[in-house]
Amino acid sequence: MTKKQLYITVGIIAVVALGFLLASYLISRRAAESGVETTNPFANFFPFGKSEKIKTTDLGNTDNETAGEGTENINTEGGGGGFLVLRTVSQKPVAGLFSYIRSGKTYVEYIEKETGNVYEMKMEDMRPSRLSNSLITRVSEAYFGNDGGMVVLRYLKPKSDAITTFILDLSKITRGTLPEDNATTTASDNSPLPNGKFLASGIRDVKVSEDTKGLFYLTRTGDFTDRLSVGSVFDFQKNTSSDVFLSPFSEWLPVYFDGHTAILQTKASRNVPGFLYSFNIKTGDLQKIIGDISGLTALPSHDNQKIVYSESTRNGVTLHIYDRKDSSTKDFFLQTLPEKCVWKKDNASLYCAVPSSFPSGEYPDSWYQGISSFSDNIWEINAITGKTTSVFVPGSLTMKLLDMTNLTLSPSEDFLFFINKRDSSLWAFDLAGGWEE
Amino acid sequence: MFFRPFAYLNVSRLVDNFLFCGSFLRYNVDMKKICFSFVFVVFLLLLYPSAFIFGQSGIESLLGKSLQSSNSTISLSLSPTNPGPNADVTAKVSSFQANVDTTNIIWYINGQKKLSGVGKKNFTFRTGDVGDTITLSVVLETEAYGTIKKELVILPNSLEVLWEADTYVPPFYKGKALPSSQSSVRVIAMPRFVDQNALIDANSVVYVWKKGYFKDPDGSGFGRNAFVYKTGYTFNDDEITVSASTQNGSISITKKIPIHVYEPKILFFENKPLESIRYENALVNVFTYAESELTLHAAPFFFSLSDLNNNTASFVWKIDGKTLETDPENKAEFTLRKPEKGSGKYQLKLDVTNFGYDLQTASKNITLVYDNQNQ
Repeated sequence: MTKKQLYITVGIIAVVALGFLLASYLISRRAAESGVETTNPFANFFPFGKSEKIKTTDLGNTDNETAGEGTENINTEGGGGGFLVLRTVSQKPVAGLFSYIRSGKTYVEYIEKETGNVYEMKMEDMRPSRLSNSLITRVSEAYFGNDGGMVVLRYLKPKSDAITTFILDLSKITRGTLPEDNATTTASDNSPLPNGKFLASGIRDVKVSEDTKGLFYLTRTGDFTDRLSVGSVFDFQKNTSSDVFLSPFSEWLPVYFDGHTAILQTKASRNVPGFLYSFNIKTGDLQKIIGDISGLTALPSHDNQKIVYSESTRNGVTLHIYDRKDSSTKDFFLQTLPEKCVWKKDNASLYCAVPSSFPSGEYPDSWYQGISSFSDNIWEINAITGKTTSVFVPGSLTMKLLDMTNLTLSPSEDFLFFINKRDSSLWAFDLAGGWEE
Repeated sequence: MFFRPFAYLNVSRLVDNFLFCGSFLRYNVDMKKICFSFVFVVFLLLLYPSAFIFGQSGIESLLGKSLQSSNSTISLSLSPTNPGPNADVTAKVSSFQANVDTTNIIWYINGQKKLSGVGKKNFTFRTGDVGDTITLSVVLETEAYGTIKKELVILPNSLEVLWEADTYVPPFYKGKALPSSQSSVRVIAMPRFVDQNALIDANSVVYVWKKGYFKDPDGSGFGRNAFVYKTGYTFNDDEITVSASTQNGSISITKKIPIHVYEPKILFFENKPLESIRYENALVNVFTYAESELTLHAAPFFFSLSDLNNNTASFVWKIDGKTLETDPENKAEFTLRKPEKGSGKYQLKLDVTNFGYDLQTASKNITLVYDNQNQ
């Protein structure tokens, strides 16, 4: 090789390298200006670079924003209306949510804790719409039933520990009329109040059925010595309740209900063996599924064939999946509580919010008591193969620490919704793949 | 015939010969053969000790004359011993006659082959529902004794024991209310007995309850499936035993459970005017508040609930050492106004005492910080 050829070769290499560097810089800068999250395709090309998601917009909440306006506007500046993969649906505290599809589009409906108002948001444009006027305030828990046509509101009486349970009929409210120029409200102040009815007072725990047509709930009767737990089913369509279960033990937590079978878990504490029972409403038979497991908490799959459960250990919890068909159990290295998981429709896999670490404490007690809070990452777990896959790490997208509860999948499983236990804000993660134009 | 001279040798003598064999090997070639013979015999002894125990019959079995074995020569044990319904059970086979580690073992459930292989002496299976009979069979295919079979019929009956304490936890709490010293605990026996293919009603079972070593005759009896008692001292375990039996005594299961006694404790939560009490997040050690006033709600975890309801527990709030007047109708809450200017902090303390029981007391301190300058 002559000197001339050598110079030409080195020159070409240098030009190509400079071109890559320039392109990499421009992409990074454009992303930073537009406020969207993306991955630099050149970052891995050079040994000194590292591929990472570019965080340019903090979705951190501010306390002073109002309902509706509280939703983070994360439209990209001149970027064609793209949204981050992780979105704040409501910065205001949310008591419960429900996702559905209308005209092929994914929506989420939620109850604001402070006002009890029902809001609707189309995930495509991320604009909230208030569907109802305030009827009940200071709502602690909300569960949607009857395909979103009814919602169970649970709240405390003033200066009391007594829980009131109210069924709000949403079947007559108008949905999907969000005007182009009004991003916050559709219900007028003169709109009639939705109908509703009170359920029995002192309902301790509730569970909406898989088909959302029924509600299993538990009350107590008698004084402590002669106490009985009564399980009842409320039919959202017939608007009637009937008692179906009677037990001298009363510390049950319903974790599953399909209209025929209720899965009842004994309330958990780290050093107390827990049990999981299946109650057949037709036969009245109560059968143990698993038990003698310290701090047992559980979440059955939609078809009630697999059960993800946790067991308390000295350092936190261990996660397992029990298969009712063959009585086999799979152990997972991920440490989390089933309350932080949601099964996919295929009943073969589930998403779980997995704490990046367990602060010192006794679990699940410390988490239930609010002494410990987590910072979670989302994982997908395949219950058949045992494979675990990291889905996303919120720390790369927001400064906010997310202690995820109430995980809910949209019907087409393109969005994963969750409530941040730290402030009850509602979030959505776009599972369909990042941001859209 | 070759082995017959050695059949009556005692073991200690064989061992001695074997140990000295190495030294013979070095000096005498003829002794080498003897040594090999000894080694071979010892090897056989290890493999077939029964040949020497049973004398000639054992030797004959080695020569291919299979013996008819009875299943009394093997034993089959279960863990747990009395498995309940839908329970994982491990069966273990052992034999003083055959070496189960080198024998082909086949396991059957209700006549269906489930596991086989050399040395498969453990087998785990799951019982069915109550009343679903399982016939567990194990077959050992031995060279020495031919096929040995053992069978066990398992009829799952169960007795689960659950308990609950009459202590306070906040509304919507998903965890268990734990017993504190001198609180009431209710233990519930949940038998699932099947007799003559019928599930026996739990109220038709006879229960005998014991706390520690002492039987409680008043709490025991026909249909007495719940037992209420007062706990002992903090950190100790109360041991409760219950025996549940059918009236004719055909089924009887006893269970013993320890119930630990915990310390009561106080946790502070913020009661937000619009949002209600934020039970999701306890206020721990230091809390900075930004609003013009802060309402703290105290949750006295694991205090006796009936005493709290009957107002026999006192709540004493102190701020920087001074006792505060609180709303007698709502003594678990205290509202603190923020000074209009400046910054500072308060030391807030709450003492909760249950007058009825000396050991049911708890204190909680928290530092409340306000800062008007950075707002």
